Amino acid sequence: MTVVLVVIIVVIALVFVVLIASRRTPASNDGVDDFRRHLDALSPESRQQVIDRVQNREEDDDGA
Amino acid sequence: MARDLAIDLGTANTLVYMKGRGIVLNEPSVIALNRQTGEVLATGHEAWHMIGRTPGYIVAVRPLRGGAITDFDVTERMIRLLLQRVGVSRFTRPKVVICVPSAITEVERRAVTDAARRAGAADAQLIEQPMAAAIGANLPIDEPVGNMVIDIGGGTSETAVISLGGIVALEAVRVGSFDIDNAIQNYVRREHGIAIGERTAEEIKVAIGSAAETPDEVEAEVSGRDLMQGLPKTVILTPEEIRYAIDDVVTQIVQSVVRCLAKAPPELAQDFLVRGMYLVGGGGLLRGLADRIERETQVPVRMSNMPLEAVVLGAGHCIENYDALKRMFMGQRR
Repeated sequence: MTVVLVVIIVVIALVFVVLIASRRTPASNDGVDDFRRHLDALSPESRQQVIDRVQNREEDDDGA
Repeated sequence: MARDLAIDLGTANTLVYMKGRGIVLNEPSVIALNRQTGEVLATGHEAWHMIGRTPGYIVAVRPLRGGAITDFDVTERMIRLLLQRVGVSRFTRPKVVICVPSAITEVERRAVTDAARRAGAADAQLIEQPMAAAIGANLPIDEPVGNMVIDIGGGTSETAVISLGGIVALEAVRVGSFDIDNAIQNYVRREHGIAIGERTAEEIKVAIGSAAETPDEVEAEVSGRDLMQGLPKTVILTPEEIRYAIDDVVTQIVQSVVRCLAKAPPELAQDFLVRGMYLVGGGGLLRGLADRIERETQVPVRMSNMPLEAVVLGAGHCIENYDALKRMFMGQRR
């Protein structure tokens, strides 16, 4: 019974350590992916939707 | 569920962009209050028409000066009313992105976010106006090239060099088109001995104001109150007079552009000669200003397609892509 308890505690401790370690050392490409997402969101194609929305609304207002 | 909002809280005008809808509000940043009770009587266009024409118990004020909140309580009430008008209630608290001058102090930054949160926003993030303007003007700021944007607002003029989604060089002065109006008011008072209101000064600027000589110039008839006799009086103003009156303010704006160019790294500086600089903001509409900046910097100046809406469009794009563009917000950069 004691052995089982010790094993469980060790497993929980290991899982805990692995979790903390994974949080402290982010994957090396996280920064790259994040920066790429940031630049993609700033591309003229991505922004066109917002500009089209405003221009369409202005045309609708002019037409009304 | 509230739709998230982007707000261009300008000294002159306030614009609101609603996620998925576009620009839903565009009004002067003016609020009219009952002096005795503190009750709000009007906001926006209605309050703007009251400026300088109110009885003693009403005051119509602009709660922002030089891009900064001068009256926290009044600004908060104005934001609350604006949010109510676009459908925000106590139960629908949206995320809000607010455009502010880049030279804003920590105290002013806190004042704006607190005002928005108290007015009903679940979360308030700030973005620098020139960055929002560059996004809204659809400049290729995602590329490793120099993009230069000049944003001339009511109370501030900001010039920024942007590359790869970030600000490389920045120059801001707390001088804008309201200072041009003030310069006209002071000139007419000093040289013609008549007092005119700020709305009249603005009308003169729009009618005959210019930063450099332009074709087809006309004179303007201006009426005000004679300072000696106290009676109504009309005088004729020429475009040359107005250019002289506003020259100090225009020079400050042009010099800030020159300083920003001087701060830019040489690799990016050569891009400006090819791509030019982009002018946004209501102050950029002053006749001859683009020509004057071009003449003094030797860099081509282009007007943005939507100069008055560019800033709120940029912030609107950030609210549409909130997670991807989080690093654009002030205080979020890593």
